[in-house]
Order: sequence, then C-alpha cells, then structure tokens
Amino acid sequence: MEESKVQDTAGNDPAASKDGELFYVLTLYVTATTPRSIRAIANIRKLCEQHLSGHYELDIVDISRDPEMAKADQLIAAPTLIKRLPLPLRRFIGDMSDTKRLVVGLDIR
Amino acid sequence: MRNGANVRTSEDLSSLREENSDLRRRLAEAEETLDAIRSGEVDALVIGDQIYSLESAVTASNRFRGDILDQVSDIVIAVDTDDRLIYVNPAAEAKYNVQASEMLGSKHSSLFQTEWPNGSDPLEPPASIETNGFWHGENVHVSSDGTKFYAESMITKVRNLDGAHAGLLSVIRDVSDRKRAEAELREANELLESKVTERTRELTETNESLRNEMDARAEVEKQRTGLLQRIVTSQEDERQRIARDIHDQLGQRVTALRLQIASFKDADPEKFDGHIELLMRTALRLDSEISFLAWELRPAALDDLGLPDAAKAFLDEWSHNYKISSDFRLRGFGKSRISNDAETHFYRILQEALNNIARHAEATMVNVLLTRGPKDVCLIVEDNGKGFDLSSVSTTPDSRRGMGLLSMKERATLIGAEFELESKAKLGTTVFVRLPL
Repeated sequence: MEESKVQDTAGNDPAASKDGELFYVLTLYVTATTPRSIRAIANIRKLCEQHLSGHYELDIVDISRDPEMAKADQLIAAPTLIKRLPLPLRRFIGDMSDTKRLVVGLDIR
Repeated sequence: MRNGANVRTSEDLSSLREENSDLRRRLAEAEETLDAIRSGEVDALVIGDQIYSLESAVTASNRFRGDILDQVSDIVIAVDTDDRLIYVNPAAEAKYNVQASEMLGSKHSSLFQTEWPNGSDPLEPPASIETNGFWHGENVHVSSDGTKFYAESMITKVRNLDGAHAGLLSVIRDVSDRKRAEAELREANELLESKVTERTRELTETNESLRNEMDARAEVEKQRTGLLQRIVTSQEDERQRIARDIHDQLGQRVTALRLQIASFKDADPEKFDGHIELLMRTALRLDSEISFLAWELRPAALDDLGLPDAAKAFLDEWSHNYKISSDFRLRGFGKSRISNDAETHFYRILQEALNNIARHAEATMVNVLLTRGPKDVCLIVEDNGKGFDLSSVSTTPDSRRGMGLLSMKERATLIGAEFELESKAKLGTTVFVRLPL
C-alpha cells in the first residue's frame, strides 16, 4: 500500500479555514493488506467525508514502507490515527470503527 | 524579588499544570494503546526500528488470501454494506489507474462508472444478487480518466463469520479483446452472409439466364425442326403442284398433240395446212407452259443475270399473271453480284412476299425496292392491300400465312439478314429485309 495524501481544500495553511471551520490534518498508520488496517482506512475516510468534508487532509502511511516516519512519530502500534491539527495532537488506535469515540476524541463539532 | 519569585512561581505552576495535563493525556493514550494491544485491536507493534506483525491464525489466513488476490490478473474489489471500497487489488489499481490507499473507504462509484450496452438491464445485478446471492454478466466500466473497457463481472454477496451480510466481492475481467474479436467475427460473418447472399443472387440470375437461354435454344430447335418439316412439306407440295400442272396442263396438251398427230393418218394431205397450224399452236403453248414451269422452279435469269434482273422479271411476270400493278426500283447494284445463297434467298423472299399479296392482300399496287449500299443490301416490298393485325397472325407452322412469314424470316436469318414486317389493317403491308455486308 502506497503512502497517500488526500486534501479536500485548496488552502495552503493547514490550520486555517476560510469559512471559519477548523481544518484537520490527520495521519493514519497502517500495515498493508491486513483486514483491520483496511477497515481502519475505510472507516476513517467515511468519517472524514461525513463530518469533515472539505476541511481535512488525510495521509495514509504504510509503516512497512515508511518506518522512518513511524519512528519520528513515536508510533507504537498500527493501525494508529494521529490528529496533528487542530492542536492538541492526539492518537487513536484500532480499526476506527468506534465512530462515537472518534468524533468526541477528534473534537468534531 | 519576591514579586518576581511569585510571578515565576505562578508561571511554574501554570507550566506544571500544562505538563501535568499533557502527561495525563499521554498516560490516557498509553493506557488506550495498551488496552488496544491487549484486546487485539492492532496488527503490528513498532519497537525501535523494528516492526512486529501480530498475526493470529485468522489474520495469517486473511493475509494469505490477500496475497493471492493481490497476484491474480483479474480485477478484485470488495465493498462493505455501505458500498464503500474495502479492498482493491493491484490489477484494479492498474486498470482504473488509481491507488488503493486513495480509494479505500470511498464510494464504489468513485472507482468507475457503469454503462449498459443496448439490451442489458441495469436493474438485473441488484435483483440477481438479492435473489441468488450473485450476479454474472457484462457491462462497460468507465474509469475516472474516461478510459472504457468491456467488463465481465462476477459479483458475490459476502457474509462475515456470523453469517451477516458484510458486503460484495467483485471479480472483474477485461473482455474488450474478446468483444472486439466477437465484433470482428460478427462483421466477418455479416460480410460473408452478404457475399453468400450476393453470390446466391448472382447464381440465381445466372441460372435464370441459363434457363432462359435453354428455353430460347429449345424454341430455336423447335423452329428448326418445324422448318425442316415445312421444307420437306413444301418440297412435297411443290412436287404435287408440278405433278398436277404436268398432268392437268402438259398432259392435256400432249394428249391433244397425240390425238392431232393420230388424225394425220386418216386426213387428206391437202388439208394438212390447217392441222399443222393447229399442231404448231398446241406445240407453242406446250413450249410456253414448260418454260413457265421451269422458270418458276429456278429462273435462268437468277443464275445468268443476277438478282436485280431476275427479281424484275419475276415481278413483271407476277404482275401480268395476277393483274396487279407493280413498280420496281433498283439502286446501287451496277454489275456487282452478291453471293449465290444471298441472291437465292432474296429471290425466294420476294416470291413468298408476292405470293402472300396475291393470296391475301387484295392489293391493287405493289412497290418493290432493291438497293445496294456500301454496307448492306435491302429489299422492300410494299402493297396497298387490306393489311392485317400482326398479333393475330401466328408464326406457328399450322398457320398458312404464318408459315409464309416464318419462312421469309428463316430465309433472312439463314444469310444473316434482318427481317421486319409492318402491317396495319386497311393500310397495307411492308416487308423489309436488310443484309449487312
């Protein structure tokens, strides 16, 4: 699985948004081909589309292909979602199927 | 100093609170991580530079299946119950020109749109999946970059371990080459069919043409047989006529002559003059009738002087004999002759035409024109008689007039001449014969 980046807005400042909405910068670390990782990708993308449409940037990183980045982020396990912005930085582990916990944890309003 | 110390203490306190809060948050995260690891919600652990995969038997089995699906050349995609992509194999990535990681979690329709060829029903797949648990069929997939291909798909309903509906698994094969080959084959078949049809039509036409030709040949053969029969018949008729003429005319004359000669035995020699006078008149008449019969059979003029003089002599004699006025015009002959055959047939045609006029036309005037140009010889015989309806005259051998007309036509054909007949009731009849040279 290749590292990918999804950016739904044209804004260059990841922390700001023209219409006042908070802009989310997320990174999902996965391991390729495992069902849990696949589910995590599907779940987080679905959540982003439903709650953060136009206000998020999602990187999906395969830890086996980019271990340096995983090390820099002090990653412990996969799948892990890291919310970089808005601050504070937060981590979530698992297949991202607990949408309620994620919505609260990501402070999505 | 004291105030400064207080400020620092206050800042330190605030910092400590933030640090405390951060530590609590990190601790909570660490606990969550630990719980997640304990409850088996992770696939891998990262310790230092090493990645440790946590593969259960099920996970290993799934990985094995995933590896297989990754290697198959067919497109394999899976969607969950919300129609979101949960698996896209490398063949699908290559075919739709996407990255699986970009597509997973997206709606299935973001990978490709579907077109339905004429005659196929877009409602069939969901109905079949609902009823049978699968759908197998063909349609056209259109990637987001616009590229299209014919897809043969097998879409199967997927259930999880609990038996609940978990999504759909699609195995898709690009059958564009096969479709193209089928289309080419279809076109080739259509072309072949059209060629076969065309060839059949040509053969039918040829067959029809051959049948017509055979019919025409049969007709010609029938006419030829008829002609031969008529030649024989007319020869027989002619012999009978000559025999009758010889018996009725020459026979009587010869008998008279014999009786007159016999009367010499008892006659007074002094009265011989009167008998001799009578004898000479009878002999003269006999001579004249023999000459006429011979002339009718084959006029010496035709052999000696050629067609123009023979034709004129016959016309004059005929005109005198039947008391019908005639006019003879000759152009372009000079002293040249045409072939014996041609002269004979022209002469016989003239005879036949004049005999027809004498028998049927009730004419009072006949014009004959005989011309010779650089390219042809023409004979025209026209009368001012009662004429007739051409369609009412059969050219079959059982019609006497028809026989005469057919005879003229056949004589013309024999020497390669064209024969035409024009006639209208009360307006007379014209015979044209043209022999190209």
